[in-house]
Amino acid sequence: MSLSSRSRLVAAPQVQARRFHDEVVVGDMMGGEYYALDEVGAKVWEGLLAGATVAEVATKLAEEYDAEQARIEGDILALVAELLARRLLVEAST
Amino acid sequence: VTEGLPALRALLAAVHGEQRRIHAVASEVSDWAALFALARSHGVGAVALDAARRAGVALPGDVVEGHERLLLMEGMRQEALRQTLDQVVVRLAEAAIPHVALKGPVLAARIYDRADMRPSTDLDVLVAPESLEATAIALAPLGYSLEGGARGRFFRDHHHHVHLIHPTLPLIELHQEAYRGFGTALPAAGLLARRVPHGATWVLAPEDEWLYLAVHGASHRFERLSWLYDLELLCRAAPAIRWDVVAARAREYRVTAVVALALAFLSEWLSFDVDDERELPRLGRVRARVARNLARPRASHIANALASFAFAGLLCEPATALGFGARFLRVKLLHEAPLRARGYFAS
Repeated sequence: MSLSSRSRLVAAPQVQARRFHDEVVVGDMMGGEYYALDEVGAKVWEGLLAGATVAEVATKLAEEYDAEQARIEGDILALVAELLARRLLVEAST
Repeated sequence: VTEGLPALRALLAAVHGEQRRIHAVASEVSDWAALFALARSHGVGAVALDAARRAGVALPGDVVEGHERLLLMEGMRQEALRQTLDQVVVRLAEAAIPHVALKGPVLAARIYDRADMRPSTDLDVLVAPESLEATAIALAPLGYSLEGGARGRFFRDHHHHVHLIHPTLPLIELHQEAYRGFGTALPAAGLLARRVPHGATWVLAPEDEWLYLAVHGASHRFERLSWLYDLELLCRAAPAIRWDVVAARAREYRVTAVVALALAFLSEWLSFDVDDERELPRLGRVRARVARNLARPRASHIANALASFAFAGLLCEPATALGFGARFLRVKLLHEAPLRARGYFAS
């Protein structure tokens, strides 16, 4: 399965995540590494884990920040690719 | 890490007292970042922060935020441990394997204000020695397997627990004895026979649990204050602990000096005395002084190993001391040292 704007993602089984003020702290319980997603990253994480596609999250953020959807979608895809590479997210089976 | 230790001990000793005692300790603290770092290294980071907050101590905002962030991460790990234990308990129940959850998230949930306040790194489960294989089979569908190789063999042959490992879930220390050391052992049979239910799982009877936690903490020379603080909290959570039973079990398991040491450290470091000490053993002044000195953490692994050897030998009963010394040297020198040299253990 390749990453696209229609992709849906879930947290990897070894991952725990919690809100911390404006951020979301994502922890890899096996690797012992923790990542802090900033305000926008936190909204992406929470949107994806609520079941939205990359495109749906991008639409919501574009409205909220009055920004160009294509650019936001590109940024989200780049973030998701990194989270996939770090095995914090996995693509949901359809 | 020992700098600031007296202040941390004083803070813990004040947690259940009047708030002015916490203020008295706080007024002496010049570096909260260092104190909280020390508290985290002793497994009491959340306890220290809660105590200071409850007493209304003015804390530097940036220090609190950094400390909270680290505690949050620790809490996430505890949540992962709890979720895994829930799955393990279901499998053990399905396989009808009698077990006890030692320490870990179940203890934390029972004696701390919040379950994520007591950090653990893995899960400890006690089963009968004859159930080890059945337990490994029961947990295989979760993806767990017995650790193999030289390290797996070492633990199987020389330790009171083996390791169940998983590619993504936390390590399980599967105990066939609650503890082996000080020239003696806490075998599973009696502990399992007296276990008590707790939700979907089982825990040790209060007297056994207090004894086990004392022995476990002493086996690590109480390097973490949380191991001592657990004993205080268990007393507060289970006020009906029968100390005559604790004393009798300590004699049965030949750990009277260990219990005496735990009581002495509780009194001295946390200003906590159990309600009824009449039946309980006491540590002589000289022995207590030597134990206190040996309990200080050393910089090198070798110095720590020697201090541990002397500390454990000091707490052995005369009848078991010779066997303890021979076994300690045989296991450490003949079996553990070669593995350590090959990097099988973190130094």
